[in-house]
Amino acid sequence: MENREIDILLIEDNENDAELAIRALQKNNVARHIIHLKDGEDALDFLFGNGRYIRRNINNKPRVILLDLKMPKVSGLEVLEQIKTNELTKKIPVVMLTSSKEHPDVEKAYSLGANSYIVKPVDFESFSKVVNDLGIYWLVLSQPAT
Amino acid sequence: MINTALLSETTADALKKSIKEAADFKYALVESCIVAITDQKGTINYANDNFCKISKYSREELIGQDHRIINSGFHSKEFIKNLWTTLANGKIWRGELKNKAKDGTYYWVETTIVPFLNKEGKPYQYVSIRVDITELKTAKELVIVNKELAFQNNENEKRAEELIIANKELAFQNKEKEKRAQELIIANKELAFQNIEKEKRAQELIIANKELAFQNIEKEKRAEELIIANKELAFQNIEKEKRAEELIIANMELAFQNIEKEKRAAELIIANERLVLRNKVEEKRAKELIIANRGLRKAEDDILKLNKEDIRVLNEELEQKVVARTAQLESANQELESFSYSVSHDLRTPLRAVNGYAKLLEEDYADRFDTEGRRMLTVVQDNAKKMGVLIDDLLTFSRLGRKEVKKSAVNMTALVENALEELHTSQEFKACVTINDLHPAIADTTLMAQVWVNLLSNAIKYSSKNKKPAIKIDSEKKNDELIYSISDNGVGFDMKYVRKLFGVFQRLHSSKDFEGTGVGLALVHRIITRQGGKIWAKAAINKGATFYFSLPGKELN
Repeated sequence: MENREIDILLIEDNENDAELAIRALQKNNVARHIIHLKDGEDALDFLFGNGRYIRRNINNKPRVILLDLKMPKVSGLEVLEQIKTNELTKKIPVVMLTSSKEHPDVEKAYSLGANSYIVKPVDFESFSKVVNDLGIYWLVLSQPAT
Repeated sequence: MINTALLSETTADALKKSIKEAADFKYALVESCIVAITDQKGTINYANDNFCKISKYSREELIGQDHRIINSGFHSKEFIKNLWTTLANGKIWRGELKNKAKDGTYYWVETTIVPFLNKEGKPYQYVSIRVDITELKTAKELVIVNKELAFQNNENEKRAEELIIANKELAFQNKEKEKRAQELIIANKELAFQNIEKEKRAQELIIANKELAFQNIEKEKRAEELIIANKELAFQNIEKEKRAEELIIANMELAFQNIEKEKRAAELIIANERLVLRNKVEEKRAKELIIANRGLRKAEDDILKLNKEDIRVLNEELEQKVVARTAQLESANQELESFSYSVSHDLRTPLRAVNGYAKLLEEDYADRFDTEGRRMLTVVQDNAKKMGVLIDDLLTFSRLGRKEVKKSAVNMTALVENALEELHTSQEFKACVTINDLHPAIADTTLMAQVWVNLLSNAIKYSSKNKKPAIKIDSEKKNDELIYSISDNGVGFDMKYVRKLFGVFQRLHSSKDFEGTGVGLALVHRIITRQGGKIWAKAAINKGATFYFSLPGKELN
């Protein structure tokens, strides 16, 4: 199993949105190593070393988690709750991704310990800028949680 | 003269002596020289021994002959003629003569011929005295011959030298020729070798030629294949072009579907509104029922204890019905809200993909698009963005549906001024805005601020094509209502479409002329209505428009 430091763990079911997000993150060399997982269940397995990730070194934690709110199977909120209630993962910054700030779950996400949220704008340039700023904030400016 | 009798003794003596002397002279002469005497005709009548000896003729053979007997034929006729002419003239002739002896040999004599003259002075005999000079002559001749020989020798020697030189030259030439010959032999061999080489080369060239000819054919084949491949590529190009055109058509189709979905969303909003309206109607009815109920209570008071119990039961039933209906309405409202939220959310996701991938196309493939292609790409992006704005407006609109109205005293003049300032920071406009002193109102400040921003931005927008755009804001109190108005001198609209003015996504102007989503007035309408007011408008095409809204005024008291 690879032990390279994970800059960003992107949990996003929409492949198009994921591709655009990865593109935006890589565009300015903010993040080098990005792992993309397509649903909440897989993401939890990855973080806690279950299922197909049983042999993964779970202490190799992502520096930031980008988490889509709306996902099939295990929703973003459930994933968030598990991350924030587990000693292993609760210090990892989690940024929620949502289509609209009107989403009633945004408030719930904050109450569960989300560090910030990004509204995915229709305009890719804005999206790219938001994602890039966020990457700089969490990967460059913030001290890693130890 | 000699035989004269008169001669004296002395004379005789002298004569005797003279004769002796003459005899001595004659003897000396005869002994030393070759002497011959001829007559006037040249016939020899005396020849001494010396003559006989040298001519090898006997005296008898000579006497009676003339000198032709010893003629050698050596001297020229001229020479002989000169001799006889000299003698005939009585003069002594001297000269060298070449004579021929009897045995045929020649001899040379130094000759003096003395003519003896008679009284008449004519020669009667000739005495020739000769000396043998043959040896001298021979010696002279030898010298000449020698000289000649020496000369010839010399010549021969010269010639010999020349011959030696010539020989050497020839020898040298011979050697040169030999060398040359050897060189020629070598050259010949070389040529022969070269000939062979050339033949070989020629054969190789023939082979190479064949090879080239073969390659030519191969290349021609290859060229033909390339031509076919080219044609194939050209065909594929055309196919790809077709595919691109199909994609463009598909894109257009998607854009069209998007518009259709937009329409559908608008319809849903309208349906939503209708449901809300129905809800309100039913709410009103419930209120009316409550009022009716109250009336009934009054009647009960009037009638006092008449059927008190029945009325109480009826009342309770009615209360329960109202609660139940209200709950139903609330639940319907909530469902509508969540529906409109999810419509907005689900519409944004594909839109993000449309816009995002169009952007990626632009970033990654810009060089493969021509100007028109890039323009179309921009159109796709712009429209996706526009739809995003539409959805955001729609969300704002639906949010107002559930937002609680918090009424308080509102300084309308200040509110309008703030709104104008806000607009100034976001856009530039040249309209002259006049704000009269406005009546204060009891209303929701936040919502009213939104109303003014929307109405003002509309007035600015639709008057922007006027050279001197002017906007006037006023208010009046009429009965129990406060009526606010905002007028502009812009493009106005046709009053026959006034009913469509406040519908969601309803627009009376094309977005080419004036930008907008068609949500602004619907929003204003909703806010005013929720606060118990009304909204209406008056306008004419190109003569400006005035929007009015009312708010209940009695609450001021």
